[in-house]
Amino acid sequence: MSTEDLDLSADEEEITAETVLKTLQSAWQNERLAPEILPHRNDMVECMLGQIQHMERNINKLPKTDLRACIHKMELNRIKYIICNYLKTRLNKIEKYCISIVNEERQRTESGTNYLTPSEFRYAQEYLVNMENHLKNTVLNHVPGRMQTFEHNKMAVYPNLQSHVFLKANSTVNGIVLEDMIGDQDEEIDLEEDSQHILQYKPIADLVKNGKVQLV
Amino acid sequence: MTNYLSISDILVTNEKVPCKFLHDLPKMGFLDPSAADDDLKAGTNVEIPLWLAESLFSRRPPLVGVDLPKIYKETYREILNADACTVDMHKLGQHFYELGCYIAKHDIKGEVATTLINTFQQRFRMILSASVSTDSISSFQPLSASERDRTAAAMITEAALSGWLKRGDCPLTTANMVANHRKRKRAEMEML
Amino acid sequence: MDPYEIEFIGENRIVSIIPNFSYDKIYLICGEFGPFRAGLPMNVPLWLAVMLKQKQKCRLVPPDWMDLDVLENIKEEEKRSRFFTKMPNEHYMVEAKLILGAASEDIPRAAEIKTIIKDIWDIRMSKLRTSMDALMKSGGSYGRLDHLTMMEINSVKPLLPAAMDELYRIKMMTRKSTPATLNTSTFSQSGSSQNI
Repeated sequence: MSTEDLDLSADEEEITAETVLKTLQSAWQNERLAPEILPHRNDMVECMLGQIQHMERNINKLPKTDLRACIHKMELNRIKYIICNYLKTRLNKIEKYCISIVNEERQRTESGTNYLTPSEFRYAQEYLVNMENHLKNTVLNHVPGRMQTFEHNKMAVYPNLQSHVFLKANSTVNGIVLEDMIGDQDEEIDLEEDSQHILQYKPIADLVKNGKVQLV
Repeated sequence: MTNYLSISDILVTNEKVPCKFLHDLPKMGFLDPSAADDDLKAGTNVEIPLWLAESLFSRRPPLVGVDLPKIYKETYREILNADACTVDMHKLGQHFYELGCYIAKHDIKGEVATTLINTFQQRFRMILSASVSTDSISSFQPLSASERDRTAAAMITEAALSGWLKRGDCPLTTANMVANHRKRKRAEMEML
Repeated sequence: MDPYEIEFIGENRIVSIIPNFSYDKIYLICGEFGPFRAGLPMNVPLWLAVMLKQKQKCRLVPPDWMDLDVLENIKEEEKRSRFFTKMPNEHYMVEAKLILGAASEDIPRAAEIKTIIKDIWDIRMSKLRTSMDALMKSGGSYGRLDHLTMMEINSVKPLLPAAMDELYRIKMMTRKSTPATLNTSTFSQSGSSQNI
């Protein structure tokens, strides 16, 4: 059996499949634990899907009872699980926060900082239309005329960015300000490398998105 | 801070609160079941649902003044501040915290707010013990609706964890008797 | 997240095995392993080690920390200190359960090791509960929890973060500066997607 060449020097930089997998795992973990939808990592997903395809072709050349086939298959199942769960988690958030995600994504598209992939965005918009139609048909069309509008801003559900999360600092980050919305005592904390904390998501949202901290 | 479709919020805002009407309101006599008149006179005290009370309160000038329901008044506040864990929250107010948040805005002294926070913190310990106990949820000092939800969620987590520990070829559990013995010993240690 | 997902994450850890067969290097997506030489120790991911053991293709080598003396020290330290001891690794419980489950015959004094690991776990969990209560009483908005493993952190979800969220909400809604408002914000009550 030919040994697989794992270097992805195809188009851009040289990243090993191993790194892609680690990044994807990390993205999956963050996506599971973050209150809001995070920027997509479709590049990683596509890359892994390509790797899986490549592997499966090679495995099929082996006899079914070959131990190596078994081992590779198991690994592929693990990777498939991560990808599926990652995408499913994102879809759940898209459905839950539909209206707010569609609005925010429209703004983000203008500045080129999309969080959703094109197909996710399409899904979000279609879901919104479906929901609106459903509610119109079942309820709104049967109520007095003046109340028939589907009020997007009232119906929108926003993720609770003040919700508390656990995180681990991948590298030292100093000077995180914990705003005290109630009193006037803003607190400033430092996140040492490898330290773990529980705090509100909002002050560290950017750190999650740029990889400086990992949600646990 | 709840969403439009939150059932809990709909239930909470349906609770009746005592209000005093600050102006005469013609034709609104129906709000007071004990009134003989068609018109509502200024000074009348009526219990109306929170959603209506807030709406009337937010007019300029405010059409009602919202009074504190009995459970947020001083007598009850003292009991709660002393030992919130002995209180039957289910009987006192299923939506104690949520309703309290709305009511606290009408309490100029801010004492309701303090009691809410204090009560919440004290009763957290109860929920903590409940979640690791094997008794069913109904055996605990009755909890408010939100406390019950949190306890149920905690019990699910605990059950999942015990399930994971027990499964497989290496059940990592200790006999209850031994576990309790260790807990007592540990408690002694912590007190030293 | 549920314990099995954390086990899944923990299964990526590298452990040592002694295969009873020989094979060339294998090139997995997560890395290269091998070559497999019967009788010689080598490193593989935990999920692979368990699978090979179940197929009776290898023996597991106990990790350095799965030693009675090492564990006794950890246990003493855990009892003595107010804080959480740094555990030998991020997923000690997952490793313990999987290794002792699949390969207890490869681990010397497995039963005692099992007991002492469970003791350490119990001490830590009990400390965790005390810390949670203390955290809530002290205002409940920020806490530092170094050296807690993922499985232990997961055991307090959603209870601790949800309680902290609700406490924050109560404080926000009852603070003096804002006038009474009725349902004008539209935040979802349970913010995170943790319980999918």
